[in-house]
Amino acid sequence: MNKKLLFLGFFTLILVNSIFALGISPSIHRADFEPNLELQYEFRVMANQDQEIEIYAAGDLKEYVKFSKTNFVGKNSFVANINLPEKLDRPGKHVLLIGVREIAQSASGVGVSVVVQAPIVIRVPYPGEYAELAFDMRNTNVDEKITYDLTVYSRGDQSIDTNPIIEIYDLSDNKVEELNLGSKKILNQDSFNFVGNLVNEYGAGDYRAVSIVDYVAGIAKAEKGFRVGHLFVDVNEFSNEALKLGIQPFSIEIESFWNDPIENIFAEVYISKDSEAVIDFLTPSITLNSWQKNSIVGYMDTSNLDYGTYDVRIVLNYGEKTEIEGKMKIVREKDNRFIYYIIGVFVLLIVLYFWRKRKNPVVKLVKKNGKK
Amino acid sequence: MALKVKDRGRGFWFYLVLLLLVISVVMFLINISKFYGITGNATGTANLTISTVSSINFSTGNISWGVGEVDSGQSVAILDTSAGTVTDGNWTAISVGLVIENIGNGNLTLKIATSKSAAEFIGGGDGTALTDSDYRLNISSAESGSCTNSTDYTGTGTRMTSGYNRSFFFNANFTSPGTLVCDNFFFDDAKDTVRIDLQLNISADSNITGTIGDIITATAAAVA
Repeated sequence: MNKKLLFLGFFTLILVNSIFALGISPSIHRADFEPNLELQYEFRVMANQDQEIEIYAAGDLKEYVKFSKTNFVGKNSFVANINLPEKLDRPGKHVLLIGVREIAQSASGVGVSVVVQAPIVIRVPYPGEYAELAFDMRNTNVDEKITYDLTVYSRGDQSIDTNPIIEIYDLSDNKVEELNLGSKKILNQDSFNFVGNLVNEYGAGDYRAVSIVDYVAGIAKAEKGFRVGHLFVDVNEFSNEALKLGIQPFSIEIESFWNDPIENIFAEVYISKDSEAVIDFLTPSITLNSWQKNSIVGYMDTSNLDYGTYDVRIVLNYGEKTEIEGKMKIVREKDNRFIYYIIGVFVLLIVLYFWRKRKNPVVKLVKKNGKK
Repeated sequence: MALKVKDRGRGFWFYLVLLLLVISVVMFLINISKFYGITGNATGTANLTISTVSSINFSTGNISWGVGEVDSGQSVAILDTSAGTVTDGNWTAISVGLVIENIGNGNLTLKIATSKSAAEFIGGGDGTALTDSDYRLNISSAESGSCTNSTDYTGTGTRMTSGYNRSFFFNANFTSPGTLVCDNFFFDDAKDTVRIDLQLNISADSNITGTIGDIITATAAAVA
């Protein structure tokens, strides 16, 4: 007998779920550190009515947390009291996690388990001046304004004097604009939001914006790409082959270069050979969202076309027009007739074989009788 | 004289009708004013706050291969939910994974941990030899784009891209809170579901028998 079989015996591998869902609200809190700061947050727990829930703290600063309760059954709420110390050595972001988990029941088999955590983000000021940025540039269209949104956070324990600029670069990395947002003093643990519009004198295309904030003690930078759209829908590709087999689909992949939805886009398709029109048809109309790619599919009857190459002209209509030309082939369906012939001949041979085998005894019998 | 009495009677009816007319007009105006607000508009404000909620749900949380053993003469049996196969063993093949949905209203981070190592779960060595047991997991977006990850959590130079990718597995991490598999587990209805697939390589040398199992813990937190 196989030794391995002796060792192994039987396994029953099961994963049985003991919990389905768990939730905590609010999902996040943020606070700035101050010496001996006392914080009190109430959390609600979404759980099934019979779930045994345990509350715990994890991550940074967990030793400073006390809960109003640590165990309960089902949906409930609790309070987290946080008493921060006089001083925290590490500056920057400290993430304290308030966790909620089900107390796993020991039953036959095991199961999946869910834990949800609500982070409490406590920012400790950096010594001296320190700036952090949040920067956004929104896509737009030509002749529409370009909105910039730069927030400068003073994360140090001293206020900062800022003088932000925004530089715009094109795809070839040529600087096309530099915008000075003016100087601003931002107190420590405070922030200021520079929001405004650029005069859009750029052509359509992809750009890169770099915000640079010089705050004497240092420089903070943030970067964001953005696109300037124009009302144009391009044809990326289209069906370059169709079967000579009745009604056939003709697919056109199109892409919008406009920052708003474009409705009622449809294509006129003209197929010709030797400058003689043979088929033309319209596709159904579709809507493209901003910068979206999609396909439109029309149908054509290829049964009267000859095999070979045809000229294709596609006119895309969407208020404006995009016209492209190309080629397509009308091809025959993959021919399986040869295989069918082989199978047919093979079957015929088998039939003949059995037919002859059945007939031979009679022949033999006739021959026998003749001999007699 | 008789004429005067008659005039008085007519006058009574005249004033009565006039009074009723005035009352009727006043009532009409009151009703109209109520309808069109002639008497002034009352305005009110409705305030509400929608709380942020972090919540996840295992919509599929059960995998059971039943009873089985490594085929005679084979060194390892492979049970793989992503392929839906059992190779060189006679357990029942399972093609469903564990499915987790973000049912809150914010993006989350998602970490996955097992409770046991391969050796503790299915025995058969420590995973260093080819014939040792392995306990591996795969995470994929059950709805395309549900999860993004900027870290190489597999340790293989491969990481999950958007879409449903079941082509690679990583070793089960039994150190709480586990492996960060999604640094953005989205809450949009169209892309809020990920799937965990399991691959068990069970060594024929395993000395664990009977009913066995493990707990897979999904830990979710708001993106801080």
